Amino acid sequence: MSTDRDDAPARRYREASAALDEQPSATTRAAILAAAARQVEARPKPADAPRVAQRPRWPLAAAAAVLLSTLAVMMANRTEEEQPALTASSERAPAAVAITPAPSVAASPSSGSAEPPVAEAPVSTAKRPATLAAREERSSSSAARPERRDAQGSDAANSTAPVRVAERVAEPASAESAQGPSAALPAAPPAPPRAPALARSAPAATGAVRAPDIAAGKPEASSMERASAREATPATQGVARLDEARQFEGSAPLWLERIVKLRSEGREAEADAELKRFRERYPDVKVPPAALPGGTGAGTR
Amino acid sequence: MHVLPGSARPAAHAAREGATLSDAQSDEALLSAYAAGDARAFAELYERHERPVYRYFLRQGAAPAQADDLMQDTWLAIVRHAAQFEPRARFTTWLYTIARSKLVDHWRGRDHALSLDDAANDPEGDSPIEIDAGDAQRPDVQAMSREHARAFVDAVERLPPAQREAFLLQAEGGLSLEEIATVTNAGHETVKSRLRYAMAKLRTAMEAWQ
Repeated sequence: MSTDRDDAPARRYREASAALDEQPSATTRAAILAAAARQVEARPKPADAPRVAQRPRWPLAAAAAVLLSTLAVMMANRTEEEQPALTASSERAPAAVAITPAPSVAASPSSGSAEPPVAEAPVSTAKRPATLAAREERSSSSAARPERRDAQGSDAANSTAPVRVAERVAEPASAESAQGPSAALPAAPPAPPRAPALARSAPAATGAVRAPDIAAGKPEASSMERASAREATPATQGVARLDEARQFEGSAPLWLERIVKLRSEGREAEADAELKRFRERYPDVKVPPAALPGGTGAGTR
Repeated sequence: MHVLPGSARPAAHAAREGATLSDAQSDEALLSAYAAGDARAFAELYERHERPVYRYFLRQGAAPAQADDLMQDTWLAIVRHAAQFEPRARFTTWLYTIARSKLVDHWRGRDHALSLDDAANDPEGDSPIEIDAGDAQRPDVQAMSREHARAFVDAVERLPPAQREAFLLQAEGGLSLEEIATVTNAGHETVKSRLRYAMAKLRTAMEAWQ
């Protein structure tokens, strides 16, 4: 198509351009090459290209390891802190139950001025066996615990777990030593119209250990004494109250007795709160005047 | 459009596998390798075409600083669209199409009086270019001196824009008539005519050194 003569100007032009040595600035060159390199890095790699996994990721792994280690140490410390509380509650609870004399509530249930039971009782003889038994019970009672949780709800089960362990440890000891009404537990009361489920849950909540006592038909009032004894235990006082409240909620008469007792002790605010919850739970049950606000009568029934 | 005899894919795979880049690799193979993630292939490609494209901008009337900007615009466009390059086309065709587009945008933005697309600027029967041969006329000058080269380049720059563009695309880019027609959106015969006029004028200018 083209001859040498035709190509001569183009060849001449290339020679002239080479002689002039024109080229873009180094900055332009660097910018273009850098942009090309950046584009390669930003572009998604094909499947057969080397993966990012080859890149060292040890900082992320180290951070995760440190975080997990810290969490493990915190959990271990927390467990150690809770362990003495469990031991203490299991040590004190049987003493309170076993040593507290048969209460006046059982003798005269209408006695609203019953003194709170002794809180700190000497328990040197029963201390160590009870503690050991508590540990054994804790390790072996995992099968029985879900049943209790089903009955009372997971929140309550979690918050009152130490007290329950103490109760379960204390009951055999008290049954052996005292044989009195203080070891008795509330029998299932006649259920109000809306109470059957709750009434059923009450025995279940006490666990298998309490079953013989319930079957023996111990007086209802004795549970008040036990509850009071547990209330007086300083280490478990707050948690025990919550547990007691759960127990009372299963029985309308017991709950009313508690309200009356609270009013007799001058704990009006607590009594009002309990009464409010009682009415929500048992709207059809008639509340005795002694349980109403301002009613400081001695007895309920 | 020009179709390459072989596919660029095998070359791209070879580049990916760490094969040595050499001049034996076609432009298209290098671009495919770059699109596959090989930055060295782009460096090689840029090295090949850096100066011709830069001179293309200079000869078309751009100042060196403007030519630098146009270079960046052109090559960054190639970087961005490398993955979309169709291997059947010649790389140089694509490269000079982009370069011309950037140049047109440049002049259009500056309201340049001369437009590469303006048919009025394509006087086919223009007068011969007068070249100041200077020392090139001296018989003792054997090789092309810098002044001689400058004089010839000035003669190229004084060509009518359309003829100059066709000449530069052939001389710098090595494009065929069909490829020049593709780049300039002109007919084959039009391009052929422009080239014929350009060559005639430059030959006349060259005779001053003979």
